[in-house]
Amino acid sequence: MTLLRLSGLRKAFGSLQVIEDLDLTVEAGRITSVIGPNGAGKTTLFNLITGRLPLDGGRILFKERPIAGLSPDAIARLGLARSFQITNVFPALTVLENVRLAAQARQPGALSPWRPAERLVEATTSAQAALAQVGLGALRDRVAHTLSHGDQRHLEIAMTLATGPELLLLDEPTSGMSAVETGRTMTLIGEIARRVTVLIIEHDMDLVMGLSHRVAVMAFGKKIAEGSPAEVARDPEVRRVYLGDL
Amino acid sequence: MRRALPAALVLLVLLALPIGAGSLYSDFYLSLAIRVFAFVILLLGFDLLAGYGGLISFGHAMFFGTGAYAAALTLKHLTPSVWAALAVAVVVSAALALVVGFLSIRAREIYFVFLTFAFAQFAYHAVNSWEWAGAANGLPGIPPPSLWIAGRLPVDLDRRAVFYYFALALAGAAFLVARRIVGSAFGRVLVGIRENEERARFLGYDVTRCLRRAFLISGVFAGVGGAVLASFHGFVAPTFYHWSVSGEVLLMALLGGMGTLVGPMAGAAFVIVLGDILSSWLAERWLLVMGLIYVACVLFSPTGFAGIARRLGALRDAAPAERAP
Repeated sequence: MTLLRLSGLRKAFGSLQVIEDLDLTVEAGRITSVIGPNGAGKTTLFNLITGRLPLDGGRILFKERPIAGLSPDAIARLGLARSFQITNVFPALTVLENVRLAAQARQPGALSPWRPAERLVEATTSAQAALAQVGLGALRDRVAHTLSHGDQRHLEIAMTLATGPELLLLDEPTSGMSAVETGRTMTLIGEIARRVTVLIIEHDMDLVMGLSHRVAVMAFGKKIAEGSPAEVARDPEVRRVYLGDL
Repeated sequence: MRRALPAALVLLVLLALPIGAGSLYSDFYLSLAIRVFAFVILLLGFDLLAGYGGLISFGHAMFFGTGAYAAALTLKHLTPSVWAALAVAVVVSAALALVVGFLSIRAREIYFVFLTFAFAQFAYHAVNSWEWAGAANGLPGIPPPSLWIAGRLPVDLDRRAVFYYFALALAGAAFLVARRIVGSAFGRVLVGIRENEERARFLGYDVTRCLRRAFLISGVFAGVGGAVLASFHGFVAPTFYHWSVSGEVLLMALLGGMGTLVGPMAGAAFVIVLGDILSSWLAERWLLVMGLIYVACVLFSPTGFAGIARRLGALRDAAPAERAP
């Protein structure tokens, strides 16, 4: 089943064409990666999908439903969660409250000004489950900004998970991490992907090759290759972009 | 438990205050306390929006004034029931907050401050020119309200002590409601928006809708505060709408510590009571002393009284541990 289908996507910033006629499909239950050098338009692609930026043209279908033009919160409520390239959490709140707020978002009564937050038991339960999954259970009472960079990135993944998404968009989930943390994170993403469809963007090609079912390669706003990791790795155009035209 | 004792003491003193009024001290202190209660309700509303939602309004005088005028006009022309006056104040200030919130919440930070200020100035000048609202003279001679409901409870609130308890009960109820809202699912979302609006939005929260709702609740609290003061004084004037009221609210909240509910309430009490004492000693120069207090507070405790209390609490917790071998 196709969960996300992009067709003919276009976006320009002034005279700079950042995304040019891009097609991409994400199959449910798979890990799809979009790789490309810095400046290829990967983050812009996420910003278009999640409603952070308006499209210039093209279509975005999530669960066969057009979502272009919807607000970011409406898209999130449909079950499409994203992390950011630069860690984006609630820095002054506790780890648990960060994830609890995320879990609360799609619960009935999420905006009740009368019902005590603690009485939304399901939100707390799924928050704790998400924290346990990313291995932050023991740090639940710490204030988020006191966590290490790697832990904050995992916290953000826990938050996106806690919203109960069908599709998880991860924007360079290992950026700024040490080698050890990177390894842990890739293992974690593999585990998450058993239950949730994952779309990753990453500039480090080697990182996602072992993990992904399908890889699309972007350069200068265009998709230059797509296929299995092995197919993509053999592609001469991809080698040229990544290794330079030697 | 640790907070229960000071709270119980404050409540006890407040309950006992009317006993000595007129004999041990002037009746005037009851009037001062009633003014404090009215401002406490206003400050609770302000804190919900500014302290929890992160939106600093510089126009809350407009809701305070609107609640005051709505109550005054109801008491004057419709019924002496204080409940009816409060209900009308709630409805009218809610309607105004709905419109102003809808138009202001598209802006943030200094732009939001200016938008709310502009709307409040507009309201101030409008009230100043409306003949049916008494224009610049305001509305004197509002009949004393009563607790009358459909023929029952014909207790007149014209005695100062009776009104005192009424206003105290109302301020207490407002505090409990505000605390409930702060602890609610919505209250938590509000704090999330204050901490990181973008993250909240990408988790699926309609930030604009949440902030508009907070603005509405905040405006209603402010309106009730105004209604209490107007019913007590039996007089309203455009000064209720004056920008200096909005400024005073902001200073009270800063002094007490925003985002704590108790802090801004304490700030209101402090400014009103100290202002009265200082102005009787120093006449106009009391504002100079008040200014120095504000500066000292911003320099030494930017989190206000609430911050000082937190630090004292932390000291007390730490002290026995240090003495232990």
